[in-house]
Amino acid sequence: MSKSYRYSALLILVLCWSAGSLSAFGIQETKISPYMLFSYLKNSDSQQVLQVKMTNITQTGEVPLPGLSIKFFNGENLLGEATTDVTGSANYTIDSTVELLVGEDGTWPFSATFDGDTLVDATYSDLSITDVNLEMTLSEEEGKRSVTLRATMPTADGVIPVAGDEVGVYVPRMFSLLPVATGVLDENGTIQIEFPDDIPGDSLGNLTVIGRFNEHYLYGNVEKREVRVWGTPVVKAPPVYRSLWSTLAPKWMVVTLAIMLMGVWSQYMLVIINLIRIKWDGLKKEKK
Amino acid sequence: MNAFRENLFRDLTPEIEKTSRSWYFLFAGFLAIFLLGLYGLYHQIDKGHIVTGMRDNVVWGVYIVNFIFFMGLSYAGALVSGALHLFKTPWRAPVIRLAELITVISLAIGPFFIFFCIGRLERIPYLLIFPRIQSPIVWDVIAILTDIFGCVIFLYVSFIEDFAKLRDREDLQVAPWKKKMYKILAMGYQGTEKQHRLLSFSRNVMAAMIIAIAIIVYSVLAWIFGVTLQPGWHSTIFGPYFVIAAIFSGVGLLIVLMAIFRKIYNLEKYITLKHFVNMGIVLFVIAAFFGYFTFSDYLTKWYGSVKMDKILIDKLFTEFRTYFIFANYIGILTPIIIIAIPRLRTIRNITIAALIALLALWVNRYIIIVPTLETPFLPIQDIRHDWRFYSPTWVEWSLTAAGVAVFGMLFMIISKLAPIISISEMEEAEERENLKLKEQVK
Repeated sequence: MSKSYRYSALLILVLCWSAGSLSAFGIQETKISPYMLFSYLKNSDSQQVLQVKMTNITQTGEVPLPGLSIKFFNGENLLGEATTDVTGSANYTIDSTVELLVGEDGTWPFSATFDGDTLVDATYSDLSITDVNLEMTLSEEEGKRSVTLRATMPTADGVIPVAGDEVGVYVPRMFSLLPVATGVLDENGTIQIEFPDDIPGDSLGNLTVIGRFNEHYLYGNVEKREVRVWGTPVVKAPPVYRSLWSTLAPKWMVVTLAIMLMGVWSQYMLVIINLIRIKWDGLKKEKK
Repeated sequence: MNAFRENLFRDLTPEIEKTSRSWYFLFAGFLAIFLLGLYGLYHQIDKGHIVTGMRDNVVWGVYIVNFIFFMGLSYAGALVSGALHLFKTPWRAPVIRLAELITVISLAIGPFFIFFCIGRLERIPYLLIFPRIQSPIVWDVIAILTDIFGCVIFLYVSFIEDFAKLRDREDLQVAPWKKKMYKILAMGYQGTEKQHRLLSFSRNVMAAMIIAIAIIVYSVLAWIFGVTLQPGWHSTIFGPYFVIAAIFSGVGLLIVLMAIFRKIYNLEKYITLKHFVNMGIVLFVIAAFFGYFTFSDYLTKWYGSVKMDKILIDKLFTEFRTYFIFANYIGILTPIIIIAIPRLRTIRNITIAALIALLALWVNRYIIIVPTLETPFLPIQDIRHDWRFYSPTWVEWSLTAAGVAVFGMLFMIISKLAPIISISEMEEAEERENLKLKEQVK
């Protein structure tokens, strides 16, 4: 066997190996293992909201899972159900008349479950919440703006201040809350935070100021909101004009295309005319 | 000279005069594949695009891969035949006709894959009725229509002398309708000085035009991807990269066809090792350029480390790594190694290298299109697994095979109507050789 034949055989083997691998076009279908983010929010109106976000974690990011029925429990008691929306979120507001079950450690045991369906696996999450109240006072003296937060906790012995825990002041932005400042509550459960004067608001300077326990391990999310003219007015930038989206193409494009097409088609015409001249010349010769 | 001409006719016209049994068998085979493709198309029209693997994310699949691939072959054929003619390459005679045929036949097949990919075919006229000049899709339609006219004219102009020779050949044993056809298509060409001058001028003009058009048209096709803000596509080098890739695949196909026609029509005397080596060297140079462009494109994306580009490159090196290795390592290195080592430069090896390059380029197109569409900037809202990934179905494969079968059938049909090697080019080459010999003797 000559060397060139051996090399050819080797190449064919390489090719076959590659071709064999190419046949693996099939994709295996698997059930989705969802990720459940369970949280608690006590909002400005002191409503207690249980929040769930169901997502599928993929290589390209989190894909929301809509249309899933989530059950919310307080201990063993079913509080109610909610279905996830297009963002994968399901919220359940606890009726203020419901007396919540308190665990041995004095906290409210909450849980959320998804029982699973044909496409998505079942999942479960729980959390324990200690009730706190948050008060927020906004003040402005000599051009200085400040936010005072005071947190208290109802106990069997009465209302006591929450000391040593971190709270923050936030403002809402497009995708999430922007932390303006955070600090630790003193022994009276109070903190005063200076509010900056250079945060962009809306076109009138309105800004929503939020005092908040943010994802606290005991209290969850507890917040108070208030709208003040504390932001700098933001004038909307005029929309950027992009001629490609208009009904008419940019002039340079039309001119370029026209010149190119004219150039090419004139050459075609020249060749076609030459072919006709060849035909005439042939006819002349035939007549002779 | 007369003896040479007689030999030429004796060797190059038998397939025009009579049809062998093997020709019928091969044609029947291609026809069967074509009919399977037709059944697949009927199934697709009847049931809709749900019978394909294309879904919400991957809206371009094998059909667009085939479109780009066939269009690439066409442009490469145009570039090669135009360059061979324009630069008066001495060894061009036996291969130039094949390159010209590749141009027109591929161009006739490629756009059909767009039609297979489009769900609402009745809306196609809107592209011409309400064109938006600023849309690359409209550029592509205009460019392809212009290219089709140009390539057909170029092919026809190059055939005229041969049609005249076949018309004037009294002992040619062909059906009367063929004789009539040769007479009409020869356009009264008698070989007068004026006619020769006009024809040569026209061929030169068209050769130059189709080189320019091929570069522009394939760049336009590349810009459809390049101007799209998709990971992996939004690249400034996509225009030249696509042109180089097209030439790479086209030269590969030309070598493969040279080997096939040399074998089945016994053209060993005309298509020799010299032609394979020369085309192989072209393949070598283009492979090196293609490798350089590929490396440059992926290096800048990888180094930039933009989130989606990074995800795409990770995907190419994991899920699609076999395709990536075949397309961008084996497909590039095999021709380079075989041509670079002189003792490996046999007809068989060069043909194998060309075939690998050809297949690698198809896979290259696959990994340009599919992984990018599987990596969208905004994740799909639907949760179904098979809507995010692409897997071609038998319908798409049957239509792909039908495209290849039609390519084969058209080549076979044309080989029954006109010589697959240009007789006039061969005569000119012989005249040049004789002149050179005479000058050497003097």
